[in-house]
Amino acid sequence: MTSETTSLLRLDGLGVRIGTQDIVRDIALTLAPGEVLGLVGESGSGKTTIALALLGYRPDGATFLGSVELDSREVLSLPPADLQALRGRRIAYVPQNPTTALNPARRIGALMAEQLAVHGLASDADSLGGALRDVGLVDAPRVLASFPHQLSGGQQQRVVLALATLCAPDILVLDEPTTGLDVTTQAIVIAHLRRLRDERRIAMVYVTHDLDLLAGIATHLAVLYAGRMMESGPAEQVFSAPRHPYTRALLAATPSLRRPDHRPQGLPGTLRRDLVGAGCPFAARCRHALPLCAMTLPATAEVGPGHLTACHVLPADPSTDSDASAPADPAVPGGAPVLIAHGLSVTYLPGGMIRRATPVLALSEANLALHRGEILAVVGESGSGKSTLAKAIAGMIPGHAGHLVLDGAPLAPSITNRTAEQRRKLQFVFQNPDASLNPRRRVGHILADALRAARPSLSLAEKNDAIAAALAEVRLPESHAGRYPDQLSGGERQRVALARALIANPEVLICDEVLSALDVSVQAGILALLAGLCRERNLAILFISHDLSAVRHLAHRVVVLYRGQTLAALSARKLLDSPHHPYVFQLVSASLGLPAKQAAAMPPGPGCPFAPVCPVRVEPKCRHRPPPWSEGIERLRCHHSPDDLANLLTLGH
Amino acid sequence: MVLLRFILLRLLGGIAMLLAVSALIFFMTEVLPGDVATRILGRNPDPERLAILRATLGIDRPLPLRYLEWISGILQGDFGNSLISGQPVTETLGRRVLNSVLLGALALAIYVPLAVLPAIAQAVNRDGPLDQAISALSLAILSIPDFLLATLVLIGFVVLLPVAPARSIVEASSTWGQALHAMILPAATIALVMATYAMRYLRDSLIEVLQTDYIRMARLNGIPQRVLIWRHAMPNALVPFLNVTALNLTYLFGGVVVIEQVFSFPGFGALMVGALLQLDVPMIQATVLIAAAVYILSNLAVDLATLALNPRLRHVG
Amino acid sequence: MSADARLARSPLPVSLVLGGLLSGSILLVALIGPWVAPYGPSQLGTGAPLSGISLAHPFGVDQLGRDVFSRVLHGAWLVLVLSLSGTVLGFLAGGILGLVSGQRGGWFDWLVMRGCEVLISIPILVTALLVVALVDTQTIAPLPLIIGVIGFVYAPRIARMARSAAIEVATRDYVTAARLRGDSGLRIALVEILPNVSGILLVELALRAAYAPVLVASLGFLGFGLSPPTPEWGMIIAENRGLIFITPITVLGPGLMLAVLVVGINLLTEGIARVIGRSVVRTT
Repeated sequence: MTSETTSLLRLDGLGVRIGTQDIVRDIALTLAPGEVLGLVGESGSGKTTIALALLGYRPDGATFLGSVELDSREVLSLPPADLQALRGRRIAYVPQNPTTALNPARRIGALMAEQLAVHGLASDADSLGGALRDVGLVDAPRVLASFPHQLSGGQQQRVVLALATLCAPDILVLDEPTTGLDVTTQAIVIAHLRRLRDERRIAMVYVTHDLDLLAGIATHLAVLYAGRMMESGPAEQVFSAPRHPYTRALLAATPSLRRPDHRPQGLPGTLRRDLVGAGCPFAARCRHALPLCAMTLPATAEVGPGHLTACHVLPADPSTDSDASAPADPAVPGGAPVLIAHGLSVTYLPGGMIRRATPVLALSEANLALHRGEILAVVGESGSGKSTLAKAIAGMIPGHAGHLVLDGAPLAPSITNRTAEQRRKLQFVFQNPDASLNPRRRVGHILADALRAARPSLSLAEKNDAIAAALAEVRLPESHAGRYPDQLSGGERQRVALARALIANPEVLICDEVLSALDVSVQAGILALLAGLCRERNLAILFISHDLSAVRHLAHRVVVLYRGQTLAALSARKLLDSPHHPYVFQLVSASLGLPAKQAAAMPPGPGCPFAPVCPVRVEPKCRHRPPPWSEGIERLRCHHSPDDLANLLTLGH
Repeated sequence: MVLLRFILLRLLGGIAMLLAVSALIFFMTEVLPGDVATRILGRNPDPERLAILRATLGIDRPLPLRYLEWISGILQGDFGNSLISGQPVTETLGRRVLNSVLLGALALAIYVPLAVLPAIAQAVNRDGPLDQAISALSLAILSIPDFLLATLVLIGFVVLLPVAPARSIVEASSTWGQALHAMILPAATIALVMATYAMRYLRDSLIEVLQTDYIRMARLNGIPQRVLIWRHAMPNALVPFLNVTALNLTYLFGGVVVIEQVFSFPGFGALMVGALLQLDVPMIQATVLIAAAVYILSNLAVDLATLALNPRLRHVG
Repeated sequence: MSADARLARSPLPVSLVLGGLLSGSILLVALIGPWVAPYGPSQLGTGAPLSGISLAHPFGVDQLGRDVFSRVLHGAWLVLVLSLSGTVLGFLAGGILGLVSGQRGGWFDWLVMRGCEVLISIPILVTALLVVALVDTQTIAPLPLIIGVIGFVYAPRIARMARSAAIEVATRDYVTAARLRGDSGLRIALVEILPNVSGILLVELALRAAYAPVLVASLGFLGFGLSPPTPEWGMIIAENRGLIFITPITVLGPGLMLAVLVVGINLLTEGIARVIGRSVVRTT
């Protein structure tokens, strides 16, 4: 990608083989200072294996092929002692999940001092504090004396970054560093990485499945499928003129606020390494595939300066084939709402080994009305109370305050006091299908259980028909009824979970973060399925999510929660338009990858829950008086008037 | 404050458990044998002697009352008198408990390295030949009943390789060196039994810890293996190790009866077995209660130690 | 796909095969032992007392002139019957108690679990010794007494384990899903919970079965077992313990058989655990 003279790291024909299987094959890349290389692909694409190979890390029982050269020194054959000296000093690693990346038994200060000591560097309080201030952790003495659990997720990730950059490495290997973080925290981390890239010229290898995220940071992209390179090149070229069908499919599947009119399209099938033959590994799922594709491996061709792709069909055709037809703006349905929640509040006492005495208000006075044929999204970060709201409506939290009305009849707080008919009408889909499907029961039995509870009067033949119909509705073959959940892919499992809810013939479907456990390519398929169900069945869907891009594409209306309180209720189409609640504004700009304007944190008061971190708060009013609701259809709760907000907050500012 | 309240609650719970166990032991020892007096005097006893014995034993009065007397006696350090020797139970008990504590301390000192070092070697060479060899060996030792293991040790070190005395008797006049020499075989046997359990457990928890993200991150940022094991992995594997050690402490006080028997060691376990064989009820009550108390107290200690070692729990509230 | 085909594709763990062979051979000894033993269990004058290893007396001859090998063969079924029926008794009682307790919750659960904790706080061997020593053998015959004692010491320990496994499973989303559609408690226990705790229960059963022969033999060894001259292995070892410096084989022979049995069941446990993907957790 860059001329050889400036390149730091050079991969040539890199392969990782376990037994007779090639996990990764024939990877050639270069990396120069200040470059950020995004390694993209679905799970199983081999992206993490490549990233770890850069650090000389070999999975158990694996052998390396080819070479990884750092400053013309071969990394793959370094003796252990040299490898150890290299790691952390020249090339450092940032793992996926900050909450598990820091040793729970060690203080941050000890970890940092040790990191310097093992690489023969002196450490003192000033240098450690400086490293923490570099990543935006101002209260260095406190952080140094803290154990990891005493820090928030965002602080933990910044500590991890500080730790990785402590010995001033030239290269950072980042393995999905923002997965599991809230969008706002994610934006802060990305902004920091950009600073490292531009100011300290640190080269990075950024592993992710999220193309949208890379748009904000990567200078180069490498798209992987089943361990092989499909396409690589300068980021803007790959984004604007993707040449490989797989790259195009991935882009088409990724929802993005940057492309508000783009409707995400699912990628059919899943990555199955056992089906990869002698030809192009993507051939089995490729819509452009020719007979040739399954038989011979396409050669890598240069289609632009530094832009390489391996495809028999498309490299000659620079046009994109995504049918970016904007969906018709759906009218918000009218009529009587099918589900009403009024003044819903949930308080709970945190459990655990040591009980805290003070009860926590997880949800405060939430109101919503859901109509037939409508998708209402509830968004918020972790701790916002969105899942609590879903569970209270589903009847899992018996002790809640407030009223629920389903189809005109009051709905008891506890599931045990609801009628069988009410249970049938209201169905719940859990976040993680691994946990929500009994691993010891076949799919057919799982569906039959749901059917028996919801429609007990059916005959055996009718039941079998209903099961077949439910599987067909979620686009699964009927033969899947005989399988156990662990014989299915993640996306297929979530479809089974959906089928289990649909088979009851519900009026309202509650989807609690149903996308978050799935790959991007699979998410788009589920999104399309939900949209179709809502249209065809006139189903009301309550869609709980933290993902604004998905919400923007799927939902009609959006309710925004923050720390248990409702701050805004607006049309999904208006998500990108002003005026905005300051918190919604922050969420949207973070989702667009724009740097968030930060305010110095203040202790919370009885007023607006967002005031302590709000960039436009007015002291002392905001923190001390609860904000009023504005008038109109796009309602928000803020001390500023909508007009003021429109002037105060503008995107890109 | 929250922490203090937790410790207080935990202590109260421990005391309640002790009371419940004492009641269980008392009622079992009083009810199960049927009439103790009849059993002492045999079939068809002389009714007059029976009545006198009952009065001397005090078993003609209601059970709950006798329990209260018993428990209040214990609180004043009085476990009653032995039915066999007529001596106060406390006197015999004190000497024997001291012997067992010395034996236990020695066994623990051998146990810790004997459990930790092989476990680390196993975890580092996971599924390698060394790991499998140690696994097989520890499974074999685990499967040999401890009285047999003790007998094997006896045959090995007394008959074949005569380095230790056959009877591990510690006299009041023994020097420390003599006492150590006498105790080394039973202590080593006990340590070996305990270590095999702990080793398997520690190996598994170390392997689990070594697979965590934070170890991987540290490894990939150049932290050497030695530091990884001792400073990163061990602190996190310590709590499970403490838990299994608590179970072992119980074994030490209750389960060693057979090992003490084989080595003729005048410890607490041998005292219990003797009392049981002779149906010396006050002695049985005292020894079993102490065994249960050791279990409850060591669990309590481990809970508190867990709290002290786990920063996540320590800093809540 | 047939079960055979599946087995053929993934080879059985070595531990499972070896464990099956070892414990199977002891089972065989128990079944045919009394018929193939060269002498009767209490037959005197079979050879010169204390004459050590010979072809006629592989495990030597004891003080009374009895053939130790024949005694071991005659006693094998006793060891198996005592330990296995005791284990099954404790497993049934404890398993049911634990699952019901975890399912019902509330005061019932609290009471059962505190009761179990009290029983568990006295070490296994001590409880067993206590009960065997105290219960008058005129009231209950020794054989059922020992079976009952094994059941009694195992039940609370298994109950506690079964309960925590059931509660762990009960918080999974698929159980919540069953509650949301209004399934009955019994149905949830049988369909959703039991199949998912059966693996853990199986490992626990095997683990307890491995310790039971040790417990039986320990009781016999300490003089609290069946009455002499019953050829139970622990008692044979105790009888000949005084001879270890003269004819060690009279102790090592029965000891070896016992060890083969326990190693066999332990290997079987490891094998089962490996097949169903569980780890073996040994507790007291």
